Amino acid sequence: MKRYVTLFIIMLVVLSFCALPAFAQKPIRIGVLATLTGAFAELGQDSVDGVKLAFEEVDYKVAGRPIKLYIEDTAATPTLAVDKCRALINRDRCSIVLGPLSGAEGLAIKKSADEWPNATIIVAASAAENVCRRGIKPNIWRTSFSGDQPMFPLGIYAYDHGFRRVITIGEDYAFPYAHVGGFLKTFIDMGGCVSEKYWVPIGTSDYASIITDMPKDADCIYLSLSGSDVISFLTQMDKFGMMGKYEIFGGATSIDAGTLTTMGDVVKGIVSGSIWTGEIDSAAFRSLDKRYHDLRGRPVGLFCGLYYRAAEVAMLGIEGCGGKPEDVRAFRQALGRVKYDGAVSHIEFDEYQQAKMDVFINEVRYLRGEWRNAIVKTYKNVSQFWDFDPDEFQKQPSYSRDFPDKPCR
Amino acid sequence: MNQILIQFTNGITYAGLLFMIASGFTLIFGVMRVINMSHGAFYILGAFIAYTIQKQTGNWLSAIIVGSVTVAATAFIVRLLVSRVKGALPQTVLTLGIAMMIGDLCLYIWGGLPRTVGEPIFTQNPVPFAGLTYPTFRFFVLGLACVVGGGMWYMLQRTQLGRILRAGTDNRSMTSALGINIDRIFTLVFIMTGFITGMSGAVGGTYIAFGPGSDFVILTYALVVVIMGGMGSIAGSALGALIVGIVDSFGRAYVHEVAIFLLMGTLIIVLAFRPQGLLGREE
Amino acid sequence: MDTLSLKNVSKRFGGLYAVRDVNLDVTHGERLGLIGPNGAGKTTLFNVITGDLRETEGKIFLFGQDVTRTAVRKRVAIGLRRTYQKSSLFDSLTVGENLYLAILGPQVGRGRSHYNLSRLAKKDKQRMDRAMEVAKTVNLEKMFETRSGLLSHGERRQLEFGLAIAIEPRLVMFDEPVSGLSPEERKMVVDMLKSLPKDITLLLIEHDMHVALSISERVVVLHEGCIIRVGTPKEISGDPEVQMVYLGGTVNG
Repeated sequence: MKRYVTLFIIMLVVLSFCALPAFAQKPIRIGVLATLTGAFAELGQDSVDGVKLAFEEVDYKVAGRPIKLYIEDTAATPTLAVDKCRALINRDRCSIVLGPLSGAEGLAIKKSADEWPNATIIVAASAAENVCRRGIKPNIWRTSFSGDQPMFPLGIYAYDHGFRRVITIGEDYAFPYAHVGGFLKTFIDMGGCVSEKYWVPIGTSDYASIITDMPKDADCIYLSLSGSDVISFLTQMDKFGMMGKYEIFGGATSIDAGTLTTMGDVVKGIVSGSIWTGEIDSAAFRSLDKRYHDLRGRPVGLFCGLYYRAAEVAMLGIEGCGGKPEDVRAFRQALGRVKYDGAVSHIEFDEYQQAKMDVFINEVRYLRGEWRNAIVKTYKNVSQFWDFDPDEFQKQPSYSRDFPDKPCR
Repeated sequence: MNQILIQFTNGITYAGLLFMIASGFTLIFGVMRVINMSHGAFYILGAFIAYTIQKQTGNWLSAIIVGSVTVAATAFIVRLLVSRVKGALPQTVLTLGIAMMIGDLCLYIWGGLPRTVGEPIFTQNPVPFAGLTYPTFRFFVLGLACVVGGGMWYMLQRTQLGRILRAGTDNRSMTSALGINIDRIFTLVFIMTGFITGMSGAVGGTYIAFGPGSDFVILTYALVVVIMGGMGSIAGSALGALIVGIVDSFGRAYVHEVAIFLLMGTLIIVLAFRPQGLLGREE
Repeated sequence: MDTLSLKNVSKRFGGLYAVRDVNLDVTHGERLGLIGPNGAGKTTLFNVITGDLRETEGKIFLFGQDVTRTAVRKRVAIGLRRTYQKSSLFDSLTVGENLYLAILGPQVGRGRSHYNLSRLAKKDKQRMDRAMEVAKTVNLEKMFETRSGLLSHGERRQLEFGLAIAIEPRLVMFDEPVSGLSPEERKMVVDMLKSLPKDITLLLIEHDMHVALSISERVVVLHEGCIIRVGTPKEISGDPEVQMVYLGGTVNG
């Protein structure tokens, strides 16, 4: 009898050893929140492309475990983003969520973040100012930029090139507030002033009244419009014969690869600030650009780059914690240690779980048979607070229509 | 003074496009009591097709014609589907479904990048106007809208079809009681609407970017214009378009933070005093 | 051949019979009155005959043809006309345009003419002339260019009468043509009814017994969807059962 018990125990031990690799093989479930319908559909598709391109490189296997992706459409609606995030974490048991895409969605997710202590959300694109600022959540990390982050250098660049009076045109919601705000913060600091600010609802089609109303004494325009809005604006500027009357500076989403594909030579020479670019001397970028180009027939743009980056950082985190992102403490510690040398930039997190990254001043040029953003200046390792003191910075009001402002007399 | 003149011009040139968009919408509602939710989808379909043709051939005029005709044909198919369903409300819901189908189809074929149709050569040079260079194309759109509006007026007031349409708008069941084949008229209205809306899409898409999501923006504009002017009234659409265009233009230039509020405020004031819209008739 | 023939026609709304097993033959040129209390099913029967409502059971023959499954406008095309209890005109059209459509509709329905959708052709001139003649018949020639929405109640009734008889009517069904009219207007409409050519068959719902009995040659009494009596006006007005269900001892004025 005793012999049987011993045999039984040995068998159990052997079996459990056989089972262990099976346990290690359990897939890591990763959720993706993107906007696959509505006005931001193309950006969402780019985002999903970015995630897939990243995981294809490692054949959907990280630290010995297979990766299983769950993709949800948020339609750029904050409440829907929260619902879908909840579904990814509770229903699909995802331990990591990449996304969301738009500004307001990111804030809504942050508000509900306490619901999900056992999942980590890596904000891949949402650029709302306060996602990793003015109170942070342990499970919210951002590999993407804060709206103002890439614009601080652009404000300085514009001033350094002799521009003093700016007209700003932005869509009327949180992301452009931060985008315009970042530009104005340094531009005003240097001594520039605001000639006029225009805020338009998303989806505005007719810009004639703004184009004909713009003050003549201004010397440059700062644009934070995206999607069809920026195309309508630039097309109509062109039809009014106004291109060239003002220098145009663009936000990260305004003069992105998609805009260039549609607008062609109308946008030639426009300077914009972004954390992405259309041309950089790195093997990783060339390879990503080529793979994206094979897929969609145009240069790789901002959103593909952002989600690609988020997926790569997540992978480094998973590897850094021994392949178990379900152990949130270990995984988040690993994220904090990540030093990622990506396709266009080095990335690491600051103490607010917000990535520091390179910012590029790009100019639209015709390169390799296409309109691309080419780098004219690089600012290395830019913090979300630029070189301001973080504590002082967080005491200033959140960006809004009216902040910051300094009207030209 | 010049500024006011320019903003006024911006307003009426915009109103021209709005009128073309709204007129077909109101026509369908007038005779069929169907709120055609696929109206915005007709618009972007026309725009996308014109975009492709213009890109292939470089000929703007043929792009506009092909766009309009294709949408007219699509509208004919939509009409056949709609006629399979009884009752205005189920028909409205069906058109919403069709709108989503067309929207997704466009996304599948053309992708999600916003586009504009290449401009015709004859409007490429802006004209001097009120101390400014003003885009010729906007004047062209206004002219086209006047032609469409005039044509519709002539059709409604002076032709047999117009009499039947006006009769159908007034009292639909009575037209059958007089022996008129109103179903055939509905089909014609759908085709006409498809043509005009496809054309507005192709023309509007030449200076206003379109892409996924634009369909419902356009539908909203059509609704605002038509509700303000009075559902079913062509003259109401023209008036509604003028008001929306001018309020929008001045609002955007002078109080841009509240431009939409101003527009909706105007709508609410109009509805408070005339619930049936400016030129609408009480039911 | 009967002008109109109803065989076991019933119309049920849910479990309720509005018209029940009605058999009726109307001969050519006959003037038939249809009377009965409110809710007796008179208008429902009209709607079934025109095709506005689909009967639940039974068959309908018009001018010898089985029209049980025929669309409204096709019944109109072979000569059926009606007026409505509630005023039914195209209010934003002129009197002339209203009449024009009444003339155009049946012609197109019979395939004698096609819709001319581009412009008003010569043929339309003929129709407008005919419209003017009809307007004269119903004493509205002075209002020819007036929008019908602006007409008085009496004038509207006259115009509806005009629409019904505008072109080649064979069977005209009037649904309370004098309701709500002043005595003078009432006399005018009654005179018009009486002066209709003899080869037009006439079916009349009328609440006003004097009018109904003075025009009709034969009267059908409907009660709770069933025909309870058929007879001459004289027989009907003297019938005690009819008096009980319908007149209640007083004649509706």
